[in-house]
Amino acid sequence: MGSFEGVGRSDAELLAAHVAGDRYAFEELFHRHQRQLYRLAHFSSRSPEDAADALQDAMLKAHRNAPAFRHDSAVSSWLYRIVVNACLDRLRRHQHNPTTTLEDDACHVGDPIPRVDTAIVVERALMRLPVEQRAAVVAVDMQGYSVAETARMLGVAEGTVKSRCSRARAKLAEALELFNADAATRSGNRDVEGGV
Amino acid sequence: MGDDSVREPGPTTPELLADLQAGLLDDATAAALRQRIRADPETAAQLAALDQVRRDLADLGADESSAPAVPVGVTARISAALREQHRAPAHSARHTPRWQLIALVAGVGAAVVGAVVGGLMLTRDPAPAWSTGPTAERITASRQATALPLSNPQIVGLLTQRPDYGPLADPAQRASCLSALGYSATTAVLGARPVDMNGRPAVLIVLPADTPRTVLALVVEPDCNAAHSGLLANTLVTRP
Repeated sequence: MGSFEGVGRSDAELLAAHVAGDRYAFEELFHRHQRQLYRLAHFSSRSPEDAADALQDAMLKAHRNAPAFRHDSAVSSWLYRIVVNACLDRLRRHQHNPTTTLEDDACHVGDPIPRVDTAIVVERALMRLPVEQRAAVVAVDMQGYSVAETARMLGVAEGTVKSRCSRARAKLAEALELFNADAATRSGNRDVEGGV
Repeated sequence: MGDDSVREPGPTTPELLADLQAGLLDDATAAALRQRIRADPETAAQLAALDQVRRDLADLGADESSAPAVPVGVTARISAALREQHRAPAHSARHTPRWQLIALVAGVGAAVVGAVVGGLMLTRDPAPAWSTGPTAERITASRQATALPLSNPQIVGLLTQRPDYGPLADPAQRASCLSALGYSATTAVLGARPVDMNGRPAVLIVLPADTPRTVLALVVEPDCNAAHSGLLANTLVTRP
């Protein structure tokens, strides 16, 4: 197995080891979660290049701020939020740049796909949304940021965030063909916070 | 009822329901729409579909198992940046008591002296700046036995030689391999050479990195293809 010490350590143990001076612990943490971290960055960025830049910024920030982590959430959740925060910050700073928007009727994912592939289908549909709408639902629905927090990170009004979320959810429901299905039978066991 | 002032919402569309869900409607319109939802199962189903979207998004946000692979160049670049960061350890960012500041000043002074002495030594030493040993163990995702079989100068040397793709000589397979590694199939390969990786045949390929001064060296298995990159090691190398 070699001498790699990260094997078998939990996320919290790796973070604690990093804070204690283990020079490899944080990198191991990054490698462990990098796929989901990059995916979140991709969702919340204009381009793959922006996603990579934001992910790097976020990891360096997490690396520096690790001693301040209070263990009031999972380490992975903490990392996710730092990445989304970094992406939204970049969007805010470059919000006047032109964006690629898709026609509303372009938001279809093709033939129905078995529910087991939900993650892939949702991901594909999400990536067809304009980045502003994508970032809003990633922050609010995926990461649990409040509308106010999201608005502050994006540098827009709260009503703008609500509007972007509304449009994104309607398009996603359409693209995922949820309006045509019996939504009641497809709904899971977990309730969504802040329901109507 | 006294509800004459309540504005009837227009036709119930998914967009209107999404506005309700997002909290965009005024109280009167929202109340009227909720009443309609209670009375109309079809409208209620549409709202349930919007709730399902939120659940699907939340699930996706926590589902690491379905996340696709990260381009190796991104992994290598961030790994390198994190290692660079270790020159300023995270735990040093805490609030520093005054007595520690004295020690800090002394430490900085020692570092400055060290830097000056080091600089003088460097100016007197014409030896190459490259380490002669392999360096990939510092970059690769898994640090067990993943040292690159070539040193940095040897990797840089490949840039001036005709690429020898060995088992990846077929352009179609090479393009497929690049795709699996997260690169465009048309990415220019700057150098290549068959190598021995821990007793197993492999191919080392050199690709452009994010800056003109760096290149990315990757070691892959001979059967690297779109479905299986067989990535064994990777490292960023700075050109001299």
